[in-house]
Amino acid sequence: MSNEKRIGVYVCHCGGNISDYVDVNKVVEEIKKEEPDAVIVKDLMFDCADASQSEMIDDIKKQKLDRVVVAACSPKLHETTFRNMAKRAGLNPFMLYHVDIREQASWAHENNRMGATLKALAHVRAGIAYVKSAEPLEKIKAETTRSVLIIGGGIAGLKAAIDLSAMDVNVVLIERSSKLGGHVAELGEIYPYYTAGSEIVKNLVDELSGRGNVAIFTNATVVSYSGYLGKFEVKVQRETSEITLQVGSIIVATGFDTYKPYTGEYGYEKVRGVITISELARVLSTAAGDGSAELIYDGRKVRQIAFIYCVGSRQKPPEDGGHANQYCSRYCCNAATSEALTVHRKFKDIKIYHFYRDMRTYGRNELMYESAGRSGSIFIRFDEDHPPLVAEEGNRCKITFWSSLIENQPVDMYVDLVVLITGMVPSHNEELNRALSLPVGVDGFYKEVHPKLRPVETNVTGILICGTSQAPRDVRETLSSASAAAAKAASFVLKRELELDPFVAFVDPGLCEAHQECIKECPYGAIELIEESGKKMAHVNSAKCKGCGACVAVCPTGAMQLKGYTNAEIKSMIGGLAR
Amino acid sequence: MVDDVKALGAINIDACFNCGTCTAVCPLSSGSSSFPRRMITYAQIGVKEKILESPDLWLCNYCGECTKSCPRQADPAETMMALRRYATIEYSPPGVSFISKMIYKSKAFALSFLIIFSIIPLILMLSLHGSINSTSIMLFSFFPEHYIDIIGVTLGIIIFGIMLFGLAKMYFMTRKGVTKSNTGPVRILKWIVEFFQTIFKEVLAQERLDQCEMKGWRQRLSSEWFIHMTIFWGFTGLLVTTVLGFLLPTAISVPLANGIYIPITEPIRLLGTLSGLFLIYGASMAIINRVNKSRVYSSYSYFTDWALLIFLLLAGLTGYLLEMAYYLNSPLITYALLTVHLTVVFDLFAVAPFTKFAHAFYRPLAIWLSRSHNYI
Repeated sequence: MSNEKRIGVYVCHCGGNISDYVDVNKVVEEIKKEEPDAVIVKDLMFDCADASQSEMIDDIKKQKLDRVVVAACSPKLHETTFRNMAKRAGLNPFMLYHVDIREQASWAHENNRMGATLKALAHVRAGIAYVKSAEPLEKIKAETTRSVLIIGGGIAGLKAAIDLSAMDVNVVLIERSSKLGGHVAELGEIYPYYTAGSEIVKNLVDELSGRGNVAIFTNATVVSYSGYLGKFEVKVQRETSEITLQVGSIIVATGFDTYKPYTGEYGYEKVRGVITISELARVLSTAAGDGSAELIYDGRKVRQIAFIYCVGSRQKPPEDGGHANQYCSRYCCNAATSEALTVHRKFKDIKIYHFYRDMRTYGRNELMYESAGRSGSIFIRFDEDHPPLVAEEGNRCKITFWSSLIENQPVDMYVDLVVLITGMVPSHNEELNRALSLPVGVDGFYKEVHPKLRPVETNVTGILICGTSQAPRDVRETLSSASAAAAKAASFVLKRELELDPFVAFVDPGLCEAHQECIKECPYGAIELIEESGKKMAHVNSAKCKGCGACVAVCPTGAMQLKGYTNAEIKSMIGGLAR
Repeated sequence: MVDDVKALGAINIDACFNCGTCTAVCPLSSGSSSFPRRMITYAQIGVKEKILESPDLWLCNYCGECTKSCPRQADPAETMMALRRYATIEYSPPGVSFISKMIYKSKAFALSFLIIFSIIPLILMLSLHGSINSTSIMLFSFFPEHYIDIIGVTLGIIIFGIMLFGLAKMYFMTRKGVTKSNTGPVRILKWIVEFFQTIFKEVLAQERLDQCEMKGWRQRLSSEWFIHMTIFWGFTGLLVTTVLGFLLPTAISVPLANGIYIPITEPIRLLGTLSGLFLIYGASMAIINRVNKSRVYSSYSYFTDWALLIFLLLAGLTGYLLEMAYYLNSPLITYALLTVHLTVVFDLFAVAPFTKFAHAFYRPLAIWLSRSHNYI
């Protein structure tokens, strides 16, 4: 490459978002003055507009530009836009640098125009310095294995397996317990269409059976994994043997546990006739009733039932900062009103008193709430600070409640059955979490990269989450997220080759003295020690490397560097900024 | 208990989901008070004591705003009325409460009750009457005055006894309720002052009912307040007339017994005549409203609602007819009308403890207790 560099600099007004505070003309004039290599320095109303992009492409072609600096909004927004523009113009996309002068200059310093202008100028100088020492980079290509491992054989896992299988992807589904279907298999009728849980599971299993590309292992758990997106290697423990699977992506669908009330919580395990909604669901799923039957529970004829909501959910954090389930479990209000409707439908003359904090029967479930209220359910609100008390009195359960909607005086009433509407808690998966190093949020559920933009991905590329392993969900939402995860997994493994960002670590063989600090530090196991022509040195597996730079920081000899952010590039940027 | 209240008119009470719209629109509800929602909730869950310990039921004016704005058509206003009926039954002494319950629950029973209580005075009159002078009207020869007095006073004492029992029960229960929720100590002076405030402002002037925004005199004449005022004053006036007639025999009884003409300007007679007019106007208007169901408070009518109004109207009408027959000097018609009039009046008092009439006792007590205890 010749020493002469032909740089194009495009400073954006962003309609005024930038130029109202940053003196764009001054930036252009200064760069023109001080930068002989900048062949073109322009300001544009909107750099991202189609016309502006065409103008840039023209410039690159006609003026034979070999580097471009775009000074505009945040690269988060339009870096890809401009890199694609460079590609179309025949320029290596990584020879373009996107400088942020909106979020970091104009918006941040609205009350200091001079300062904002100087800061924008410094950023543009740094960008120019970067492109001067930039090297063309190529995206990393990785081969993929056309198969997906699904962990968890509940409805989410089954649904994901069906979807992937239909897309001609090989599926291995492993389930920790001895049978498929998880919690849902044990449930009776489920809102909104009153299909039994076991029926739903049966439908899913039937749909899955007879497919040549699905393997199901029950009583199987994950021992460890290695590899990267497109090429994972997972060791799975089956009853007697350990097997190794080659998969391109992994879907975690491990579900939830039901919250178990502590002894004495609303009289649980202390007062006779206090049960959880799961126990009620089991009773109802086997009870026949045509509307004239009587409900007998534990030898007691049930005429009045109290439902107590938000048990184990929306907990107040304790004073000492201990753990509390602060989240709303989301399914319970709906499940409880649904069970109430089942009770009203099957049995005669049963009153249900719903002690709730806030009814959250969202969406169409509102109709269930509406109809429960007209079928014999009474809704009574209580405040977080004044939960109802449950005690045993005679052969009945005595409920003492306070309701700010009435007059905040204690009111006593008697019921035959108390049902605690318990929420969902994260499933106990410590071993799996260790094996896959899965990220867990403050609530204990698996955490996605971004709740809106990347809802089924984890920060380990290629490992996806769905269903109630991620957050409390109902059946519909669980199945939707399972389909979403299946589609995402397919988008990885259906390509023969994956393109990954080129910003990975590389070793300067001349400088590496095999200190192995980098190997210890790498969180992704991407670095190994190799021997080349008799010399031991570090080697980076580009497909595994995420470009975090941890190895660069610990390398004592400076042999480890990051593509796209080499020491030379960073130094020249600092030089540009400090000018 | 819920089923009992439903049988008394709170048909749609289950539909309530405690939104509080009723409380928000209720002109009686203020600040932190949850009137009438708390009564509806207590009724829904069947907390009997809370309902009987509260004056709320009797404070309600039945303006109907809550029912008009209820998003679930749970009809809170009618529920309040059903609870009044329930409370009337509960406050009554044991035997009376049973009869009362049956009257509300069974039309057949109510009708038989009325027939029996109409037959009793008829039999009394037919078996006790004296000589029938068909040429000139000798009222007290036909039916001796002291019989009327004895029967009237006996009935009065029984009715008053029943009501006193109810009032005492209500007083002790409700005082417990208002003491629980009141904000400060009750001073004896306030207790007394509020007693007179209640009598004058609430009972005599019916101040609470006069909250309507009707402007013109035509509208005011047909307002709930005016109708209720005319019934109240008409009834009270006639009661006073009767009592004065009993206490001052020389004014009415003696001349009547001797066939001496009593001029219209005679104070006691004037009071009776005017009161009768008031009563007839009020009772007719109330009946028309109920027939037309023109307002929320007149859209549901129970047997006892009709019974009370019809007896009031009949008492007024037969009284006038009686007077007319007397001055037209037709003895036989006069005797017949006297028989009917006394039967109707007997019935009116006999059904009082079982019907809506009970509110004439319970409501002032509730108002007094709530005023003196800073309740609501």
